[in-house]
Amino acid sequence: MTDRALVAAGRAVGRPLVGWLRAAGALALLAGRSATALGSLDGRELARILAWDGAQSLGLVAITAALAGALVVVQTGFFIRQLGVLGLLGWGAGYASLREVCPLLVALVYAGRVGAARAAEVAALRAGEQLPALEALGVDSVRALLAPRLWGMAASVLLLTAFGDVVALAAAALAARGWLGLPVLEFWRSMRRSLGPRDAALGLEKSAAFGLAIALSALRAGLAAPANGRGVGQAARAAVVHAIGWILLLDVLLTGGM
Amino acid sequence: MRGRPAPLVAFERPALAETARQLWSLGLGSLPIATLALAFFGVVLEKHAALQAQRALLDLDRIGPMFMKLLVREFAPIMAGSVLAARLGSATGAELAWMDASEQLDALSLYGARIGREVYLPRLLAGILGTLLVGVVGVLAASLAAGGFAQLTGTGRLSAFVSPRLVDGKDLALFWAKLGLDGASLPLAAFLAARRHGRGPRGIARAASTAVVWGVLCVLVWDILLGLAFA
Repeated sequence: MTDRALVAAGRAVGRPLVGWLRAAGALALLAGRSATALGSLDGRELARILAWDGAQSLGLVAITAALAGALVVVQTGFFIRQLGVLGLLGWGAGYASLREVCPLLVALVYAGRVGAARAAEVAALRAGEQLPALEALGVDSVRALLAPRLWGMAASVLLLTAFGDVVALAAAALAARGWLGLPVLEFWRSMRRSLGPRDAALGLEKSAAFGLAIALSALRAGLAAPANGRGVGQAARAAVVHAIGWILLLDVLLTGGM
Repeated sequence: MRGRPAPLVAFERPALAETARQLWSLGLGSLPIATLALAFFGVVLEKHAALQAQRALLDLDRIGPMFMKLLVREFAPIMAGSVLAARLGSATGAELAWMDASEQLDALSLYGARIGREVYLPRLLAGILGTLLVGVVGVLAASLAAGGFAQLTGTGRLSAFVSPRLVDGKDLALFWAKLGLDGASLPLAAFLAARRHGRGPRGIARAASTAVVWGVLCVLVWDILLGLAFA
């Protein structure tokens, strides 16, 4: 009975551990091979990915960032009004938007929209046997297909977050004017007094890490899903959930290092 | 939606066994990742608070109770909603799109099953109850993680971060309203996404990703509207 319990406990701990180690190994391998392919990327494929993943997400990121900016004003405004320090609103909203809310929300939305779509695309390529066919023809699928997607997605998240920062701050200034009657110039002055380029740089640093995490999670989910129709849906789901786990873990680690 | 607009499923009587199964799979199944997410977020917030307290020479123990109020009013609902938009939205969107693509919904209809009662309403109820559960557990996880981290790093005391003395009835009403509306919106967004995209493998993937994006946008919009209403 004790032996059985020990074996069951070993299985309960060992199986997830082995699964986690295998996933970490696959991610490291994919990251390493994509890094070595960085010097010889297919420029046209990279441009296509940047155009599709980046440019086509601009509208969604603009909406998300504008909502995030307004949200930060509503959230901080409640406390700032209670404490009677309206002049600090620019600092509070700017600090929260640049360092935390904007990078986090842009990454979450990007993981949902593009990460899931890319995972599904890779899974569909496997299900349609296009990836094995490329390998059979001697084409390195990592260099030709996966690395451009990985770097394209990572670059898109960084650029979209920079764009989102600008939209979020503009939306926050307008929300402060509309809701609390704080003039836009006063909001701007309060922000400039206490925030600097370092605050934006720290947020962008985070978004670069989030972009890599989203891209790696998406490609890994696409490659690991069963090569059939159902696997395509599974890959999309796994990509989103894993990306969010990584984003939040990286957020803790990078904020801890500030 | 098999002939009925998504919000009208609320007028059906739910199948209890299916509701319990969905609550188990979507609500309790989302609990580990959502708890972890809120705990991580609690640590991030504590770190930011400590940085600013250090800059303004403030005592972090005085900020602690305010932290709990901020968590209940704002951060717990939005973080729980966003994480559930990803976990629950993608799972429900992909599952319904798959059921549609593989003609399981048609088969159920042919056998006389009421799709609203058997399929949609259990997921809607599981979404609402699951979100409420995740929100409550999330507040506990975030405040304990933030307080524990403050105690560990010597910047504050655990007891200050788990103190609810500044949380009033209005804060709690806002908390429940946000979570309830998020919980109802996420499955509805997934139903609509599945209905719009759910044909073929790529349609399933698009349904999953659209459900996540619509879910996150719903969470943000509710947060702003309710924040303004309860200001």
